[in-house]
This record gives sequence, C-alpha cells and structure tokens, in this order.
Amino acid sequence: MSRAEPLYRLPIDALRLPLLGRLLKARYGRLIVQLPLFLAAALLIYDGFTGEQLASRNLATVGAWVHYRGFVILALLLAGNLFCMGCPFTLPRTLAKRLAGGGKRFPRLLRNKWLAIGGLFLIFWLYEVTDMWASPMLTAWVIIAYFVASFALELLFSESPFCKYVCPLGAFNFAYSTLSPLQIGVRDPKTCQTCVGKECINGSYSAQPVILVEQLDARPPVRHDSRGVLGCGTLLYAPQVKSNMDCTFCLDCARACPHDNVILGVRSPLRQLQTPRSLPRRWDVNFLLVALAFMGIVNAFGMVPPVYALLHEMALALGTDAEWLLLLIIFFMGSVALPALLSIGAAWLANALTGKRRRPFLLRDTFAAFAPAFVPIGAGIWAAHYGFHFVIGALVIVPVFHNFLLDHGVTIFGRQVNWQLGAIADVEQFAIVQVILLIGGYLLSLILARRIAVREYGAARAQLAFLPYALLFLALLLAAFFIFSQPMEMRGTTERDGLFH
Amino acid sequence: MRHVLRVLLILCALSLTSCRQSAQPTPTPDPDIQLDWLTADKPLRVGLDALIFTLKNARAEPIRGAVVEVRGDMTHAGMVPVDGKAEGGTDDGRYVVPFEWTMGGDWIVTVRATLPDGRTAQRRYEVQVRSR
Repeated sequence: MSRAEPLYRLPIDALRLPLLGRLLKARYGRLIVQLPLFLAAALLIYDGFTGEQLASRNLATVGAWVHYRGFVILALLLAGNLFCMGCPFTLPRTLAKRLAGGGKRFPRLLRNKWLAIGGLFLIFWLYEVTDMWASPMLTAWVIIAYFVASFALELLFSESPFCKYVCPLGAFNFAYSTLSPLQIGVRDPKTCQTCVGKECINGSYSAQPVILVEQLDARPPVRHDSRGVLGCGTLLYAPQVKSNMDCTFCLDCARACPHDNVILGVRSPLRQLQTPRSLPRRWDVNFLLVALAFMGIVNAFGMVPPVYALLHEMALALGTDAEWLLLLIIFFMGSVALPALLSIGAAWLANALTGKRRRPFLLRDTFAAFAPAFVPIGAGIWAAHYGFHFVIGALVIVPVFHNFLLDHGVTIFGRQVNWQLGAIADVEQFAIVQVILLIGGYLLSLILARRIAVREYGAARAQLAFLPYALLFLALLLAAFFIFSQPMEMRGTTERDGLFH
Repeated sequence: MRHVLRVLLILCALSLTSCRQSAQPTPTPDPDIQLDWLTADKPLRVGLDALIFTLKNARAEPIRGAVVEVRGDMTHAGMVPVDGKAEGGTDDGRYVVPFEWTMGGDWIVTVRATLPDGRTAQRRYEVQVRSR
C-alpha cells in the first residue's frame, strides 16, 4: 500500500449516515453525548460522598469500576474512541479554553506520552494500594481530580495538554483506538491543499491560528456564524491524520471544515497497525503500546491468589510489610522494567539475528516498528479482564440505582429492591469468551509481527526477526492464561494479620 | 445576579446531601442484646457454609424465637450480595444460617437480629474468604 493511500475506505462515512451523521456534526452534537456522561459523573460523585460506603451498593464504584471499564473496551473494539468523544471532563475544559483565550504551549519537555504512561502506572498502583475499588468516596475524589486537572491545564496552556499528554484514560483510549474500525480522514485531499483557512485545525475566527493564513476563503461552501467553531484540540491536521492516536473523536474538525471535506471513515482494524509510520517512531508513543499490554497482565494479577503469596514471600525476603513499597516493586517490575527490558531486548535480538546494517536509531526504529503488534494482544487481555467484571455485574446497576432513588424518597419503581440482579451471562460460559479474546489477540499480534518483519527485513530474513517477538507474545499469552485460570479473589492486598504471618 | 444564582446552585447541591435518608435505616442498637458470630475466627472458604450466631440478653441468658438475617456484600463493585436467614434458634440461643460464599475476597457481613418483641440488634463483620 502506498503511503498516500488513506487508511479508511471512502464510500463509508459515518458522518453521512442518516440522522446520526447530522447529529454528530451539529454544533452541539458532542454536547448531546457529553451531557448525559457529565450528569452521570456528577451522580457518581454525589453518591460517592453521600451514599452507603459499600462498593457493591454505591453508584460511584459500580459505575466507574464495572460499567465504565466494560463499555470503554467494547466501544474501542467495535467503533472507536467514543469515551473521549463523550468525555465529561472536557466540559469544564472547554470553559477554561474560552476563559484563557489561548495560553502558552505545554512545556516542550513534557510534549510526549511519558506523563501519561506515568499516570497510568500511578493509577494502577494506587488502585491496589488504596483498594480504590472498595471505596466509593475515593472513587468520587478520583473523578473530581480528573475534572480539576483537566480544567487547570486548559486554563494554563493551549493545545489541550490534558487530553494529549496527561490523561491516563485518554492514553489508554488512544492506544487501543489504533485498533478501532473508525478513523478521521478527508474526502478529497486536493481540497485541503487549496484550503486557505485550514479551519479543521485553526478553528474559524481563531485568535491564534496554528497554521497561519493570509486571508479566509471568500466563499466557503459551509459558513459559520459569528461565534465560530473550535479546531482540533490536539492539533491534528485532518488530511495528515494517519492514526487514531491523539484523536479524541470530538469531531471539531468536521464541524469546522468549510468544505464539508472531513469524514469519519470505516477501515480494517489491523490496517493502521501494519502501515509503516502510521505512528511516529518515538520511544514514548511506542512504549505506551508495549507497556499497556504488560499493565493488563499486572492489573489482573493484582486480584488472584498468587499475588498474596508473592507479597508474603517478598515481605519475608525484604524484611518489610510496607504494602505500598512491595506493590510498587511488583508494579514497577511488571509494568515498566519488564516491558522495557523484553521489548528492547526483542528489538536488539531481531537486529542481531538478521545482521541488519548499523545506522543511527536502529534499535529505536526496530522497537517502534514492532510496537504496534503489542496492541491486539493487549486489547485481548484488557477485554478479557474488564469484560469479566462487566458480565458478572452489569445488572447490579439496576438495584443500586433503585436503592439510590428510594434513599431520596422516589418510589415509582416500587419499594422492594431486587438485589439479586447481577450477571448478564454465566461466568463459566464467559471463560470461553475470555479464551477466544486472549487467543484472538495473540494470533493477530503474531500476524502483525510477521507482516512487520517481512516489511522491515524482507521475506528471506523475516523469520529470524519475527522469532523474538513470537516468543514474547507466547510468554504474554501464557501469563494471561495462568492469571485468568486462577479463581478471582478480590481482597485488600494486606493480610488482616499482616504479611509476615 | 449571576453570582447569586451560582451560590444558590451550590447551596442546592449541598442541601441535597441532607435530603438523603437511607431506605434501610440502621436500627438503634439495643445494649441489652448480645449478638455474636461464633465461627467468625474460622478460616472461610468459597462454597456452602453454616454461620452460627448466638443471641443473649444482658444477663447472658439465651434468646429464642428471634429472626437472624445475614447479608454478605463483597467489597468489590458488581458482585451480587448473598442473603441468609435463620428463625427460632436453639435452646442455648444459637442460630445456624445456611450461607454460600460465592467468591474469594473481602466480604462485609451484616447481621441483623429481630426479637419477637420487635427489638433489634445489628453487627457488621469484615472477613476474608479464600478460594478453594
């Protein structure tokens, strides 16, 4: 495939679907999606602080740890980055953007994914250390922290730094939306070449246009009113979009384009990942893809019995029962050190086995070339994990919300709460789905790695370059099988009588 | 005017918290009733179990004829609670509640006893259940 060829298929444009397309492109189209989620977030905060401090009976914990996580991974695999599209945290952010009227750019040193990777690490570690899953109030504080961080960063800087560089949830969504079937693109690239205003990125009537223009097009087909519209918050230029990375699906570009040239195209889910340079060859972006697959393993490991045995052994060996420290070591090793060591080691081995010529950034280029192959197996692990929680607890929201209404004197659904509502499928049956998800992700990763190896090393040497990655994916699959075959045991990580006993 | 509206909105939001009243209000504990879980120290495993509670009055005399209801909630969201119940009790004030631990992990067990004269007692235990 030539690099000029778009990754999406032109005939299918979600923005041209009857009703839905018009709704999404309407001036307040995003707000229609955001407002319900904003109200849901407000409800979660309210119940988190005022409701019964019992995770299984509080909207904050049920909504955040069962439904949000389940829907996110489902939406990413079936459509695209829908959570970022409807993200409630960006509502005050938009207000901040208008109040700030521009602002400085985010510090150059931080314009990468390292902060987001750090944020992901921090949130997964804190999730275990603080037993966040068990505390409605803590969950409510986390939601508030998201709102505050989003607002404050937008107030201080331009370029939506919260979404692009900081938000751990966004980083997760960006990474796995590279596998999604929908992507922003343009109908006719020639229109963009002659477009004067570049409104998709500048916005219309922008005080600080990103791409400077001398004058606006005299008669654009689509005219905006005097309020203007925002351009891309994360500074993606629609005709150059090659990836869903950094795209929040806000559709501001589609609304801003005066030529109605921006589309939401349908593509093959693997197409982007196997296209060379669809992602920048940077350590940070590609390490995000690798680390998330390992984080999926570590996150699931935190809720099966072997983690308690490991903590016990570590406590004895290190002479400390400081839970935070022991978990920090486990999470750092599993989510940072091990993925770095193994993926860079695999890249080095691929180069060494194939005798690839030495040139600058060789190791980084090989690492970056194969990093997209970690996405399918990572997505399989996360879907198997979050899918499990969703399947066994999807209907719990009904009695929890009913109870919430009764607490406020609303009795339209009766006075008797049916607490027995819970699973939407049999747990044993879902184990089969988990196996399919894990093996499916593993096979797709193998196919991708093989294609990348052929592309980078040629057919003759591809097998040698592919070998280290095939072994690495097999190790990840076996680790995932081991963890998912364990009985779930969701307890606080500290033993009641201490780790030494 | 705008500021006044904002302040009013904030006050309304804060006042909502005081509107809240639990649908299942916690009964005032009766100091004359001793409710104890006899097997609380026993290691707990996933599966069927029999939880034994005792009910005694202030003079340590067994109480018969009460209803003991047990509710087990996991600390993780999304888990269906488990209920158990025993009525009548034995001569020595024991109530055996058939109960199933459906999953390993942290559980919060809420026990509520209702005496024939309407008085109630309630206790809450936090326990760990190991998978098999």
